[in-house]
Amino acid sequence: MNARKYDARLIIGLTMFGFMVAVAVFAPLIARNDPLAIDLTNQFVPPSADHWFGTASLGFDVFARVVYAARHDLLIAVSAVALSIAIGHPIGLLVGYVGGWGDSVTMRCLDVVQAFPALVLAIGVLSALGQGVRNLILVIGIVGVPTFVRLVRAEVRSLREHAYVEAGRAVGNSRSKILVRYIAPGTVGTVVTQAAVSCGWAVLLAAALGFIGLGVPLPEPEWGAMIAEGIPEMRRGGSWWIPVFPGIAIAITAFSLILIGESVADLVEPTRRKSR
Amino acid sequence: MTRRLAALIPILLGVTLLAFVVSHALPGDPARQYAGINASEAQVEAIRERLGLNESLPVQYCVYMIGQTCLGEPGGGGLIRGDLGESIRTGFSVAQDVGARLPATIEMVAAGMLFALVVALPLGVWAAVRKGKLLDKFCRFISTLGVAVPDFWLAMILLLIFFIVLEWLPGPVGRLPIGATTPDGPTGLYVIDSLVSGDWETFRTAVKHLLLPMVAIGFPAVAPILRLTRNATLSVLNSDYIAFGRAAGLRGAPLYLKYVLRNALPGAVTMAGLIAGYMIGGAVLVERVFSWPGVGLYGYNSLINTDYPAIQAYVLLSAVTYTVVFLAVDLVQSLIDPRVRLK
Repeated sequence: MNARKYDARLIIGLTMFGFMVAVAVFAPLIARNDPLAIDLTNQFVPPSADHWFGTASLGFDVFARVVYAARHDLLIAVSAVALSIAIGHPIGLLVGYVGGWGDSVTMRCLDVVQAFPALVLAIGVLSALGQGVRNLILVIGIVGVPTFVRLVRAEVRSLREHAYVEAGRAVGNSRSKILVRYIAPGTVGTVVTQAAVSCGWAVLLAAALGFIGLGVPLPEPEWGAMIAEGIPEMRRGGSWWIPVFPGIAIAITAFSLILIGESVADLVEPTRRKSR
Repeated sequence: MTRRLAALIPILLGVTLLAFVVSHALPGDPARQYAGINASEAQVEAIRERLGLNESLPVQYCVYMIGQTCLGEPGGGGLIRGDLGESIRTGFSVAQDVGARLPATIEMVAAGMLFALVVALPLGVWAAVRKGKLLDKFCRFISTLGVAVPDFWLAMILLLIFFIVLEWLPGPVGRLPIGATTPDGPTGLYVIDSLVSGDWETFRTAVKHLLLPMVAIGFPAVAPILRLTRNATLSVLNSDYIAFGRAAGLRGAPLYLKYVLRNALPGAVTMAGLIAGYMIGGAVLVERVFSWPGVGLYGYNSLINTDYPAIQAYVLLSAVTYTVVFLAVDLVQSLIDPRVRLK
């Protein structure tokens, strides 16, 4: 197989994700209407020149809300994954290198956390903590920690058997120096790869929580919550534009991130390509 | 086998501990949540006392697990006796509430999983056989997309198409039309119960109501199963015994179904089981769209009514199901694949 194909996937992924980031950054330039403006005379209007994606209840402009929601959803996903890495990476390094009972205890704890479906655990914790962007980031971030601990731990356990680590030990480096200088850099690749995929999951989880009303509080726009607004309309003949567009935004974002993660994984780990 | 079951105990204990921490020890005030927004300070304090929230945390956990016995008082209760508390919203015991709604969720998840397997297994084998061809690429695209599309959104798109535009299938009213008599039966699965009692009319209606939720919950499961089947099939296709089978003149469906698929199956079954375990609790989103009266919708309704004990029971039960299914999958796998021996 030639290498160009993988580059194509990476380029498509990066382009789509870059597009969504640009939408979030330049939201005020892209959306002419105010995402929070209420216009009671124009409720549930189908897409038109004035309202490209139509309007929802209270006359909210769906296009403006989809655009501005990118800010919330991307911020939540990226911050949450950053939090997962900040907690998970050091723990993974430490328990992978030191091993022993600390390792066993950590892994059993992760087993317990992972016994909860991510969405359900997030629901439980958020119902206790209450809504809000900060809590949302906290919960999605914590739910993602086990993935990174396991990933880094496995990487460390394989790296520490390598000859160059042995050599580092032989010339008299301390244990902590070996971990930081010799082993930690080797784990960055897998973490970055997983970060992209995890970001995709975080977008989906954030939207799912928004959908059941645990996300960004209204009237702030958020994709999942916007889709939920379409449910009551289902029985009234379906204002299709209310749920369709935010869903496409979620799908583009998650799809691009997962595509990036997978193509980078193939680059970092050439053995994976063989089975492709 | 016994060791496997024994390993389950610490995990389940841990699960109850975490569920307890979530419900009792997080910064939020359960008593205030329990009491509602309009409660007075005195009412909140009374609830705090009644829930035992003034005790120390270890004592609270003990009460949570084995009930009032822990405080040396009569009364029983506690998780160990299946007591999950009383729902504020419905007034029934939470265990009873959840039990009544479980069949609806099981019916949907089982149908969804059936859909996912029927789509993913043949496609996975086919994609492996035509590796690198257009079909293979298409399957890969579908499986990445399948992960990226939220199931609750897919559910609404399906409703828009098949209910609102085409008017082929019923709207989001649950398992049967409002006011319809529910079929009696031992399983609580309407499709099976109506079939057993020979009630064709109800059977047809129940199936119609089940179709869209089935696809919505099943579609996200297609992607991982398809991928796994494809990769497993690829390695099987390169094996010596398939080369031998080919040399002996086997081709087409007999070769692929009997020899290839069977050997590629264990991985797919594990994956399917894990996803099914996850879905029991995770079905909340799809159930919400279709007003499907299952465990997830119960969890959701408890959530919007801040029905605290019910939410916690929903969280706990989802985790317990997931863990138990995890084990069951291991057992099933050792049955399908004699090479897997339980340690």
